[in-house]
Amino acid sequence: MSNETKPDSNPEQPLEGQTVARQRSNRKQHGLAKVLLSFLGSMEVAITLFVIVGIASIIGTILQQNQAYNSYLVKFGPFWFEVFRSLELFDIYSSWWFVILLGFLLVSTSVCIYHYAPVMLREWRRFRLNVSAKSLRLMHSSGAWSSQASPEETAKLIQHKLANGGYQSRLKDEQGCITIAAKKGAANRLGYVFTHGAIIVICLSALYDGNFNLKLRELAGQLKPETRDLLASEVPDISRLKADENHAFRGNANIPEGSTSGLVFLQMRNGFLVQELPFTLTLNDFRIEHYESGQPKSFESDIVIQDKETGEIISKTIEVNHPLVYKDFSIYQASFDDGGSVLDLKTWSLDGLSQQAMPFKQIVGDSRVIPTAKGDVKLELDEFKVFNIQPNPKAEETGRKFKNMGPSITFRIRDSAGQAKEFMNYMSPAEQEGRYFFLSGVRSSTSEPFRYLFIPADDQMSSKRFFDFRAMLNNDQEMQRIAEKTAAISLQSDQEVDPAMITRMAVVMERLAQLYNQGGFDRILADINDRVPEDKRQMVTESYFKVLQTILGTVYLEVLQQEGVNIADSITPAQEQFYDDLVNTMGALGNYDAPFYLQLKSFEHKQSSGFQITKAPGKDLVYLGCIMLCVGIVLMFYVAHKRIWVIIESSASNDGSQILVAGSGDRHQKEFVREFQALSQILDKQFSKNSGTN
Amino acid sequence: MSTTSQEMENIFEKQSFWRSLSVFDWGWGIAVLLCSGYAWQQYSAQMDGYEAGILAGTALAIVAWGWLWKPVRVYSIVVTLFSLFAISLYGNDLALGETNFFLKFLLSSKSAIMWMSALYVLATVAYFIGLFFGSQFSNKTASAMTWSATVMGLVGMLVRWRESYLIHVDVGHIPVSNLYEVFILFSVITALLYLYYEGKSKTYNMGGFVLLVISSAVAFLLWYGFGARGANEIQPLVPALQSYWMKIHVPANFVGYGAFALSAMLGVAYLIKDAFLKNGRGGAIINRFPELDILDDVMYKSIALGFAFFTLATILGAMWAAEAWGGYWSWDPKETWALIVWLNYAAWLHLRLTKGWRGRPLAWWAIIGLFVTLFAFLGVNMFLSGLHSYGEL
Repeated sequence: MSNETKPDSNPEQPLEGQTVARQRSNRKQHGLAKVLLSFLGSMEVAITLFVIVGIASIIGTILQQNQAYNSYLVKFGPFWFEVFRSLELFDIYSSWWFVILLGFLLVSTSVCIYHYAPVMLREWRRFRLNVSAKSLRLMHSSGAWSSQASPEETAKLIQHKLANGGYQSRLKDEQGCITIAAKKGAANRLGYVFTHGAIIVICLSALYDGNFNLKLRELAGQLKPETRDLLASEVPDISRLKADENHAFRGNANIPEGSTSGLVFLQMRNGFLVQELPFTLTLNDFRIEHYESGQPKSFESDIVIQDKETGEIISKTIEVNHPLVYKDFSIYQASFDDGGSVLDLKTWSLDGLSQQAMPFKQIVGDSRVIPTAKGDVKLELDEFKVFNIQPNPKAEETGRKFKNMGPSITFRIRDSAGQAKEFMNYMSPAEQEGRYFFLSGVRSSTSEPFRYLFIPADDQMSSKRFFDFRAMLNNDQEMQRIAEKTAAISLQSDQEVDPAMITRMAVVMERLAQLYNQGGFDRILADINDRVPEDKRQMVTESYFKVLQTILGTVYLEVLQQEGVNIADSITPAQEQFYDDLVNTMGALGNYDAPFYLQLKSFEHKQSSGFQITKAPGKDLVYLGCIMLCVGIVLMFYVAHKRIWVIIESSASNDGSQILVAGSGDRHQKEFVREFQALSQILDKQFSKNSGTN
Repeated sequence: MSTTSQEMENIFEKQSFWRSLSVFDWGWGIAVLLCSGYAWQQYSAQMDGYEAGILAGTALAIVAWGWLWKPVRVYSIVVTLFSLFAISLYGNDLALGETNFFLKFLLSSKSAIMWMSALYVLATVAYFIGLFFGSQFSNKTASAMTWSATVMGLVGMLVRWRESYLIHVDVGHIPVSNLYEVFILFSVITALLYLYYEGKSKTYNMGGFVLLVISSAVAFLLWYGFGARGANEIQPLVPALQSYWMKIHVPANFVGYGAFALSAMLGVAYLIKDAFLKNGRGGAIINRFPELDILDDVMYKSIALGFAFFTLATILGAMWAAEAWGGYWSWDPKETWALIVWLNYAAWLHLRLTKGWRGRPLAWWAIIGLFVTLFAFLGVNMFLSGLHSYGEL
């Protein structure tokens, strides 16, 4: 099968393409296996596979991977959800069909190597000394010269020139006919083997590092990902992996300060597995620094690892980009979170008759049931943030681009029907136009932005007065009393007033205050539209609002009095301003629609550090493959494979020699042609050029 | 490498590469090493082992680059002088950027980039004038403008690097961290690649096409940097980006992107000329287009270069991911699209090298490749990271 034995029958001196073609046609093609192999190794299949894998990969970038099944269900509806799920599109890169596609690519590459690597390696090493003058003359570049010197001397000179040019050469002397075979840049051939071999090395090593074994075990029924929201200790054995049961994984662990963990969670499709580690990981301290803009600048963890078997202890501080490597494992600082801060909270009733003090402690992440006037609700405490950095609207004046709004809590109130609203309350009052307000954001779904309620802060910088006002409006008995009092005062005149009129006025006042309490000014306007004929509406609206102001004003004074303010003296401007803000905000309470306002009084901050722990035994092999790939690419593109042959024979006529030189550059034809011309020019100087061939 | 026949002969006459270096070559090379040594002396306390390695590697790479492509020597000298001048004017006071004349109108990062932008756009026009009207003067002017723009672009980046440290020592970082900055890098690299091929093939007529894509990049960076997004403001780095990897992974990627962009524009030129010639409509302008086989050849060489750097960049990215995120491959959209780009050009190269494809189909493929690259480069950042699933309370 060696091409060296039959050069004469082939006019074009075989370089790889031709050689292989003939070799393959020589081989008898029979049997399904051979046909299949040949098909799989074909270039068309390879290129098609490149394109298909590329397109399939796109799917996983537009469809967010590995989300909770619920969110997909909501997004796509039950029909498409089921279609996508059965095609395994939610975990596409581990799906069977994608892995099979990659498998085909691997097989295709392997077949290519199987076919071509032997040839390439041979090309790399061999010099091909068995060439004929006839084949040389038919090459792309060739020329003939006559020399005065003997063949041996001529050969020596030419070999020297070729060596200068970077060519390695071998010489064969057969009965006065000298053949020189020179080659340069044959490492190019090696590049092919490196690049394609690299693909195989990388793919197989990456497969070893992947979770394929877990999928096989799941198929065999030995493993099942846990989908419920359970504590690690509650997870059943079928979703657990012992330390020595898994040779490669990537898992997360969120460890609060001061805690220790001996396991990690491996995500698997829409659930997780609990993977035990052969060591425990303790977080001693977590530190975070922020930029002025509120973005994290750096965060690091002081961790201690203790080997479960040997008891060996290692302490280190790790941060992002600086992991800890312990045996086969790497521990990365990936993220951080709240580690269960304990919050001192208090509810201010919005639907009750009075403010009952109801302070309690709750840990972030927990939920509790809270009784309200309309039944029990569930308070889910989701998030606690110590900093809230916002762009500073006064940036121009103060020169500070950002301001810290202070700590905040994010929580949900879920009613008995399961409907929930999300709230975000700031701990400290924020300044707006010279006054201070407690901000409480509310929204019905995460796709909306928060809308904020501005609760004015009273003289003591608390929200008490606001809620006392609300409580009083809720208190029908009190309202009746106040309405009668107010009605009497407002109708006061020198003449005697009909008590029935006072009572009627009181009823109107009470009703207006009630409507206002339920839905603000809008509620009153709606009522007017319902009950008053159109032509009278303007007049009624004006008089109703005057009356409302009167009753609300009186209620406010009652609240102030309750607070201990001496209303006989005049009210301060701040207290007046408070009344305006109060009335505005009260009107919006209808939209707020919550049974209470949750106040954050103080907190005990606890952080947790998010770690990624990986065991990737194949990593070094992957890197080796990468080096092979890079070296191979450089060899293939930038090392030009060129060959030159020389045949020198004694001249028939004199003691000199006849020289025949020819050559070919494998991919860089144009450059080789120039190189050959340069060689020709040098030979022209040394020898005399033959006009024709012998 | 473009070698004259004299140099070729020299190959066979044992004129070694080293002998072929001139006094200027040696002087310049030594100057580069000395400057690098000085930088090492100043900043070694803030550099870890990897960064020191990168400094040494960069110094040697620059010397090699300048010896193999001669214009780099003068280019690097001009960029160094301008940058050092700007830095000396700044001193320790960033505010001087608004008051000092040279900084405000020429050399502050913002001004330098403005100059770069203007010059690239003008160069585009000049190249096309040269192409349509056959004006060699216009061509040469365009080339000079491209060189000048590339000087200002790199100066702008180096000065910005310094400006980031002037804001605060903790904020300072190499300016390849947001879309605005990397588009400047993209423009500079694509222009350098183009200028290399311009010199090698000794033709100006590819200039208009390549400068078109650079001008588009300029339009984007102006909009993104100074328009709606205001990204020309220097922002501190998030922890995951604070790494020496950024200095090697990002630039390597951009050599890839620049080369792919360049080859796509050559593909455009190829298709235009081919279409005209096929229909028998020749004409002076079409004749001035570079030869089809030159376009084809440079397209191949550019893709080969881009592919080599892109492979390296993807590998560096995987190694960085392994150090920062715990795994060298997570099928995250950016990584996946890098693979898609890689597969696309691997297919292109296989078609050319093994199936012997040439010309029109490959030109089309190169153009499609640009769109794939553009999505991987830009689309992922702008569209995919914004995707979030529908939340239910």
